[in-house]
Amino acid sequence: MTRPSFKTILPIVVVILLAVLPLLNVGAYWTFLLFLFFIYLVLASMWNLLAGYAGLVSLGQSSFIGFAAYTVGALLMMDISPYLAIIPGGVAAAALCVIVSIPLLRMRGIFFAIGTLVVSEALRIFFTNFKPVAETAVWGGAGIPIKAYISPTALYYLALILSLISLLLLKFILNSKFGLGLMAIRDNEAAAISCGVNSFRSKLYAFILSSFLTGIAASVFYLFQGHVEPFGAFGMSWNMAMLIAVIIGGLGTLEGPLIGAAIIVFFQQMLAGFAGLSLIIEGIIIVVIILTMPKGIMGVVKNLRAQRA
Amino acid sequence: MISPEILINSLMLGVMLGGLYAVIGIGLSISFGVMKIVNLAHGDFLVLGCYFAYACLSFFGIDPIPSLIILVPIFFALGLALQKFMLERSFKIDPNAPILLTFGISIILQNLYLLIWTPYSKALITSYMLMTLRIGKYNIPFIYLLDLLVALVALILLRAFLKKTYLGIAIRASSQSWRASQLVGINTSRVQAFAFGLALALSALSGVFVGLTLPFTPTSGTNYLLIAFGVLMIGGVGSMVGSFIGGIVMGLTQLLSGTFLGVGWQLFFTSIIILIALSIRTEKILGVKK
Repeated sequence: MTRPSFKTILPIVVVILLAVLPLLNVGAYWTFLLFLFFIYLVLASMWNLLAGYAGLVSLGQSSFIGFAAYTVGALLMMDISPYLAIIPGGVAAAALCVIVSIPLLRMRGIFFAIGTLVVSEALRIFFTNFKPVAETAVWGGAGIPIKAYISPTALYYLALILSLISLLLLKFILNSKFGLGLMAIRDNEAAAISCGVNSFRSKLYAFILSSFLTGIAASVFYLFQGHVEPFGAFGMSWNMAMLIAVIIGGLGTLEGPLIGAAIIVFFQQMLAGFAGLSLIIEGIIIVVIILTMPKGIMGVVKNLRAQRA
Repeated sequence: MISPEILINSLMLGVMLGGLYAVIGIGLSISFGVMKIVNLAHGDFLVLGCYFAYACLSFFGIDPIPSLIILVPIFFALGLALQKFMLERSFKIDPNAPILLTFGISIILQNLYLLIWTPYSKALITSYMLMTLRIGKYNIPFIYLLDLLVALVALILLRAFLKKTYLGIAIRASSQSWRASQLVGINTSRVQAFAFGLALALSALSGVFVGLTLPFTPTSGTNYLLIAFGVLMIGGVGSMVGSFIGGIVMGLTQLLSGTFLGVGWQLFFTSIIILIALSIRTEKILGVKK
């Protein structure tokens, strides 16, 4: 009985350590890195819910990120407290998701992937050209400021709580009937439907949940960033970050995004000086991992465990 | 407001550009038909064609059109190699693995171009770049006319190839049923490699003409991927006529939205058309057999 108790104690200890960390004066840099880690963890876990468990490879998660960020920016322009703008950011992303899932969820595989890509491209172009107030320096390609006076420590806690909630929610969902239905759809859609799984509804719920939490994570991140512009917010680098975190860690595993998000934060800091090069290396990593170990690090770990047993 | 001359002019340009888009789409269509995957790096290989032609032009002073004699075989070989060493292995792993793999390749290529050729937009500057033909009231750019001509020749040749030669028939057979074509003795692995090589050779061809017609940047590839995908969705798999119609729809959408709403909105409406085509699957409306 020592092993399972260790398994339950370890996460609690880690969470307590993370919670007291900002009080220990570790420096702004480390709290920033952990903040980034939490945000990437949420994004990667949500992408993993879609690609790893529901079998929907989305290349347009950045559309939810950008849409949530713009919602937060627009709300702050109306002098709303930044804390109250976070949830509407997620709701806006979920609403966008409901609208786009009418055409998108009828597709599968590559059609879904390209459909999501088209949506994010369309939104990027829309926000590049969208200027509700003429003759100003904001909106359009220049983007809008997100003037929030929140201390980095408060944002750190927000991100920590958010990542905890998403992980617990995912763990709960994946053990529920809904999660099992999703995995059944991924493995064999026709068989799942004949067993009574409502394929469209399960996919829709997964898609909405993932866009909602992606939107909330994006709202928290952009409150930190202080500015949103279309090329960054709807850009490929967001999709790339989630994709690579999940693929390195292990597609379709709960622990995968944890490892992957940590690696991606470390990696991005290491290669911060070579912006162009870092994406090339990330691309090479994706190609190599897919060809050599498609289940990522967690897949290798599981294989080793299976061999030992 | 907009005079009828401008409208007719943009209609003509749209149709001519549409021919070029049909060639961009047909490469994707052939490889999709045989392998049932979309190469997400399709547009980036097309942009590679633009940059190769640019390099030939700026280093050796070779005109982009003769440089096709070098480009097409190189791209064909590149396609064979990619299929043999990467895509074929990824099929066996997971149905989603090829999507992620080609997405990774696309990211590598885009950032490689960014590193080598800077983010600034480039164009293939030639002596015939600004030549126009004057017909009545209308000025038709020579390049656009050339695009349409090349597209028509390419589509007719491809059609003959797919209908008359053994390899063409094998490509069509393996698009219809992989297993049945293996049963009648078609080496499907080799057919796939050839189809992918052909797709890349076509993207070299269309890349050079895209480069001659429009300026290009390292990330233009995504736009061309989406255009190619729109053509595929409208025109159906492996149909030359369908692709031609699809190309013209895309070309007209781009030109007309540019004329009426401004250049910034062009790609927005192209995206909307692609989404509509994706959700209603026009290939079924046009009655093209898979």
